[in-house]
Amino acid sequence: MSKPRLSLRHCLALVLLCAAALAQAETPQQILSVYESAARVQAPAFSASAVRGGDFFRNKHGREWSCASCHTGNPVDAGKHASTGKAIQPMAVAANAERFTQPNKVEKWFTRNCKDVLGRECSAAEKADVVAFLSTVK
Amino acid sequence: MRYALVILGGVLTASVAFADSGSKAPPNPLFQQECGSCHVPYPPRLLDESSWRKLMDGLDKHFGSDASLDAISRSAIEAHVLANASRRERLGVDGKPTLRITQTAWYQRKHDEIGSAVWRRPSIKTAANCAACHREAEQGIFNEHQVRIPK
Repeated sequence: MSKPRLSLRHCLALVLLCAAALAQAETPQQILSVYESAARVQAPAFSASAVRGGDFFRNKHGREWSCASCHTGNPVDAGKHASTGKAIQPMAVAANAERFTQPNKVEKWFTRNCKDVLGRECSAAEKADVVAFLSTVK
Repeated sequence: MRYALVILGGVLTASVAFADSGSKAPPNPLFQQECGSCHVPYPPRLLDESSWRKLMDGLDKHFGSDASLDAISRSAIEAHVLANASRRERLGVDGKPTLRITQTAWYQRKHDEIGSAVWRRPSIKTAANCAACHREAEQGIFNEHQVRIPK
């Protein structure tokens, strides 16, 4: 009989994951206000706009994909990854209460997806607008 | 601290339980979550170690998408895929290293009876869509007897 083998790395991965899950959850409003405050450093009069966020979400930005390419133009619907076809749960908070509750997750996906859609990171103002749109769209 | 020990204890028990299950990698929630959000979390055994290293070094340009990870997650996932990588070389059909599982000679041999019209069915769409036919692909199960090719 083979001797059971413990994987320390495996344990570490799980512990980290649990720690992340226990990290303080936030509300979309809290996440929005963090981006709004960051945007006000450059433009003191900035106020997030769901309308601007909706346009940003649906339009292409000089590249092949828009946000809507994977998340659909109507984010209360489930989306589909543009190249693999894998289902993506709705982005709208109205349809998916888990959205915009974990700051790390929000930042991770903004970083990745902005690079895919715009070829650069999004500004705090752009993120604030998109969060405003997705937390109010019905 | 006490909670951390309880969690660690649970993990150790689970690891022992899975250690005897052959070539199948032990379940790794971080790998499942991070590598399974855009596609089926392809089992580490489907590529060899050198391919996984190369793939993990280029996550910011991952088959046309940015899939970059924070440093801690990246190294934990790299450790998992390297520890469970195929011990045989998984070269492409041209004999050169490849990062695309579907282009390995092994994959092509395993799927050589599938006609091109089948691959193009809307229910399948792409060879990357393992779960279309391997219904339990999400759980890392690719048993030939459980294959159901959709119409």
